[in-house]
Amino acid sequence: MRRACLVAWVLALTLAATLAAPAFAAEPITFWKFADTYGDPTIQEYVDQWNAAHSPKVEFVSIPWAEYTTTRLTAAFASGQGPDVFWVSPGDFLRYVSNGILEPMDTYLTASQVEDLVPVARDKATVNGRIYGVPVELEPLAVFYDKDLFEEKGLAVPQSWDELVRVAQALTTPERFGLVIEPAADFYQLFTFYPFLWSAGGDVMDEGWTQARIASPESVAALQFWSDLVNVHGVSPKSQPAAANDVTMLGSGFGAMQVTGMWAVKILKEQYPDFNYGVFPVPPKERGGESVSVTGGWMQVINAKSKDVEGAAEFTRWLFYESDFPVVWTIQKNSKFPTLQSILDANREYFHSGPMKVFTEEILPAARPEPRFPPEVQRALLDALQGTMFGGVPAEMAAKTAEAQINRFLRTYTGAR
Amino acid sequence: MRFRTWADRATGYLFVLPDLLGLVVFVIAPAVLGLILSLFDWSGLGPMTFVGLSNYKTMFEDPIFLRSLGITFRYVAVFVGGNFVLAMALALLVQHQGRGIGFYRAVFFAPASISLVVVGFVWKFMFQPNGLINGLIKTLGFPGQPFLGSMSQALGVVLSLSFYLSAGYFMVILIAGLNDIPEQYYHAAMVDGATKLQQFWHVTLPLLKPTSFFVLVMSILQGFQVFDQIYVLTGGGPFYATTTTVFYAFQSAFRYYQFGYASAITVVIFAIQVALSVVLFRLLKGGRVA
Repeated sequence: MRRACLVAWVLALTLAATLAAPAFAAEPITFWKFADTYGDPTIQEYVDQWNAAHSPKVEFVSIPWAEYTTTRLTAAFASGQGPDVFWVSPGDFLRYVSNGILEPMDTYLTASQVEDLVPVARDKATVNGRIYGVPVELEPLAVFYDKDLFEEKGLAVPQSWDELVRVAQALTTPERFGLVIEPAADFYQLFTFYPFLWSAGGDVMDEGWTQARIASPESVAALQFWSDLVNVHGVSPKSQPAAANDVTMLGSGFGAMQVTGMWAVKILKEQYPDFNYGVFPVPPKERGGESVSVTGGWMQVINAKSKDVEGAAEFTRWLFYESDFPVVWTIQKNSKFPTLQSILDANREYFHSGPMKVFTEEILPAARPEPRFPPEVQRALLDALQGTMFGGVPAEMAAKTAEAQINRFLRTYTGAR
Repeated sequence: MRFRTWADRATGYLFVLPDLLGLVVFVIAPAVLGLILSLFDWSGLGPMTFVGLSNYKTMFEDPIFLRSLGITFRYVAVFVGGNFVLAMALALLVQHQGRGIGFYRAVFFAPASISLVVVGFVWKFMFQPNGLINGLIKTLGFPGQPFLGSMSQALGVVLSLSFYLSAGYFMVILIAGLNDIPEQYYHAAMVDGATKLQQFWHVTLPLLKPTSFFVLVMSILQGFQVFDQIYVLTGGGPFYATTTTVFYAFQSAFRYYQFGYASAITVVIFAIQVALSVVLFRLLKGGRVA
């Protein structure tokens, strides 16, 4: 009994000492990003470059995709343990600005550095006249297609929704879908739906965010079109293959056309080097109408409550304006647009040739930045799209429900717009 | 046991302390915080706003929440019943020792020991548009089915995966229960001329009550907490067709950042589970045989 008593007290004291041990180590700047086995080594390389020559040191942490925006970032900021520097998606950006979490970045940039941001990127990062981050890349959306199949069937690039359906029908077989669109209910589905919504002349809200526009006839037409692709024409899948990894669905023959982003150029080059493909802008609703694209892309932002805001800003400025990271990241490692005009100009030849040409000359000029709608608005829109596509809800009714939800939300919304 | 001195008593408490700390930090405190959080409106980033019972009021006006309750009850009813029948059938098949029985037991139990996410992906492969199951269906001359993309079929696919994962585990528990029933009862029943079916009905089932009670309660709780299968297979879609209440709580918190609302949903789920367990306990007299 005496021995047991002694052991118990020793254990208790050890536990107490462990809990009370202060942390003496000087902490580096933490830099968080979602995990991407392909791109992360490049980022680590630049972090190492910075660490070799600068202070404070940066510690790069990549977090599994499924946890990054859902649990990890939220839990970290909720408990006051947020990273000093991190990447945020356009859909999440405003939430952080509205809650005072992001440090305005323009304080740490010169006038010419701000000027160097291409307009669509600058708009993406600006709230009430202040720039809250450096957009890492621009990734406009388009339709990728199997060129050999088009030639085999004697098909021309579609110029309207009707033509898109006809071409998709001609390419659909029991084993292949004519046009792959995103069926899963997540924010990426919305991202890929926006070009169709805008190309029809529809929108989610008015520009000042005072009134929903999702129940306009043009918006309803876009909802109906996506539903028809799946349910009436049967040219698009209701669910995707288990190992669906973006444009691999086109490369593997699951689809003959696919709505996806410019990043797919690099994926096809790496994984399907012999695949003969082409790219065309998302067609407008009617022939001769305006084709509109959307451009996504992550943003590097700084935690306003960081223990070293200056250091975090200095590292961010170095990464995008002083190192060659933007060139390596967008041109060599990936197929994306850089966000700086100077880099676009210096690589004119690359961007005006090959598969980049159509993106540079036709798609990017007609691209709008990915909307920064609050989650409540995105949810209303997602429910309308899913309800129309899968729930058997008539498009008009789904749109009216979404409109009422959005208007109700806007009446009490006080955050950034 | 009588404690002789305060030191002995303190020693006892010290030995219990680590477990108690774990329980308080990881179970009790989060549960209490969840209950408190359900009275607030909080996006996870900004300030918390006290809203009283507003989240609960919203919940019962939210058609998606009400639908998720319906889906959960439907899922639990089919899962609990189906799982019990399947596990019982497997247990009766491999109850008695014999040549090769160990192999069959291992095969039936194997799914319970494989990572759920791995099995989930295998299921996703099988039920994908051009997958194995559709291949079989088309070979037989029937049209391919959307399965995970269908409002009416997706929940069935989730259920089939749940059966596959659970039946073997509960089979092992039922085998233990079956082997606990003394042989004399069966001998007496046979002397009285009872058929196999009558023996099962009048001897096996009544004497298996304690084990059945455990299996039923565990599968009800498992059914209510189903998450991984849905996360891997359908993400709650299409259009909420596989969004159970637990999954809806997860979506509300981590997709739409409504932490107060999500906490309120989990409080309601907890209350339903407690109520169901109590009812079941009363109905089966806590699993007592008599």
